[in-house]
Amino acid sequence: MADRGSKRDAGSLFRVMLTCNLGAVRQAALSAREVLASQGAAEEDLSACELALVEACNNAILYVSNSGRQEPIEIQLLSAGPDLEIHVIDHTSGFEWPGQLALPDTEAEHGRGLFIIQSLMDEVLYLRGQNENHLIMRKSRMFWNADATLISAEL
Amino acid sequence: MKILQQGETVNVSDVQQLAAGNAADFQSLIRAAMPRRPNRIDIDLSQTEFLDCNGVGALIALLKSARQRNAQVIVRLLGPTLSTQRLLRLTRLDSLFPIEAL
Repeated sequence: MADRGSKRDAGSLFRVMLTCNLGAVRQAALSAREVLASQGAAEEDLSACELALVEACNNAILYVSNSGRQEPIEIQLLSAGPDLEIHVIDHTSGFEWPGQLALPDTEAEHGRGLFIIQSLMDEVLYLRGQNENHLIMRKSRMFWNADATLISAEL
Repeated sequence: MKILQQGETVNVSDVQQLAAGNAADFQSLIRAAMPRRPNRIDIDLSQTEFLDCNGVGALIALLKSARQRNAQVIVRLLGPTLSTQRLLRLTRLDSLFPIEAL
């Protein structure tokens, strides 16, 4: 499923296409986590990226229309020196990113996903388009090992 | 996942993950094992490698369901891993559930 080598854009670490199926999300996130671990990311950052990625994909899948369900969701990991960008590209109708994200009432059963993403990442951009939407999650200083950055440049 | 009912107590263990893929099953299986008037539900999260916001929602739904049967019920989360603890704190579930070491 994971395609780590076919897209050789500068800084591209990982790219995978995901079917609109909640059951497929965790495996894709684990594959992404493995790639980040191989680049020297710390355990706490790995957990944060894995969870943010899962929340982003779940969100895209849970709110997809019937027609959009046929379209895959794309995950990309990109490195820029020590920093990491996680892109989640979906083909749903998208949504308005809330101006301010806060937790819902303590006993609410839903509505925490975007808050979690924003809390775990250093920067989040949501670009809503006509045919596709890009959720870009940035995490600074993910890779402290200079050799790891060199490895990512070779991919 | 293992669910053991002993009198008015339910013990849940071996929860490998609690996420979108299994949150509904988690709730329905525990509800089915819940006595008519539960006193305590202990959920062992020491084996839980991954928790997401759907899992958080399942824990809350379970608490509300148990309270409908007994308003005084105690639902405890036991031995959560570090990453699970972080999410419980971030989502303020630590104010809703007693969280205890194993």
